[in-house]
Amino acid sequence: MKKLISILCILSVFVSVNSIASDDNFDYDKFVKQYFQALVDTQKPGATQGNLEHYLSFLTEDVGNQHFPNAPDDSREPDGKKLMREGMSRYLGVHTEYTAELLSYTLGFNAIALKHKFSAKGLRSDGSEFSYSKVALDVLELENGKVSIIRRYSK
Amino acid sequence: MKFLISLMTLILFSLSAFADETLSEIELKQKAEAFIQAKNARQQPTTTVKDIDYFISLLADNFIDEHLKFNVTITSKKELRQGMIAMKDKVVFSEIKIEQMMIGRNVVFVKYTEHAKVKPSHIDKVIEYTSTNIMSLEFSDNGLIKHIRRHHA
Repeated sequence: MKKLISILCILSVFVSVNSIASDDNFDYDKFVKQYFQALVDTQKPGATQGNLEHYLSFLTEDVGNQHFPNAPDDSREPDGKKLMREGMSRYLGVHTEYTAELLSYTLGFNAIALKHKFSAKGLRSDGSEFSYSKVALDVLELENGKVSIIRRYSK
Repeated sequence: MKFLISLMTLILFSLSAFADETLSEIELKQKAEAFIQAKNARQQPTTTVKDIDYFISLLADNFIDEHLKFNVTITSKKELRQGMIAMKDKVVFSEIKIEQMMIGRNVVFVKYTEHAKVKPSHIDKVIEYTSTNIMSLEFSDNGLIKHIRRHHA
């Protein structure tokens, strides 16, 4: 263990340099913007199954989806994307108004943190209106250029 | 009966209010800064066991420290402490500068740059480096760090 901690300190500095080089071709900035726009499009009034599929195309099949504080489990299940498709399909197009803004983001090795705010209004199945406004920090872990874990930290 | 229902409703609301209690943005920022300062203090030429113990005191007992790139996870304070005390690397100097902090619910995402000059124990020369890394720090409601994810840069 002592040796491991020592090696980690060194590796964290020197190996990262090599890893960045091998990862140079991945355009993180472009990915963040495309991912965020795809996510927003699934929430807009009139969002379609096509919008949802486009968003899901950014995710691995076994994506894990952790949402604090209510869903802390970050397990990656083989049918993670399928579960997200089912869950998000239920709410597709329920918003009558939706605005979102990407506030900031930062990039790491196979990781992106993005802070965004969004406001929505919509109608429940009984016809009553709902609205909400939130700021969220999403941390995305990537694997082979796709999102393999989503961690959302919002109240 | 009405009184009992009212009382139970009140208790339920009170409990849910406590359950959603989180650290404020100011508290989170201060705690993340304190953690980075403690990290820097425990890798100085003059670092003492007290510095290491202070660093470890910022972690929850059931903490998880993940180095995602290397698929290594540390969860034992005792082993972490022993490893840090036993480290034979010679540090000439070490500085850490916080570049960016992003704050979410009980979490801080920190981007920082380390500039240091060290002689690793297994290499026969002194190395000076500048490295930017990112890590997420998840806090428990009592303000201790329960999960570190080092994503590196």
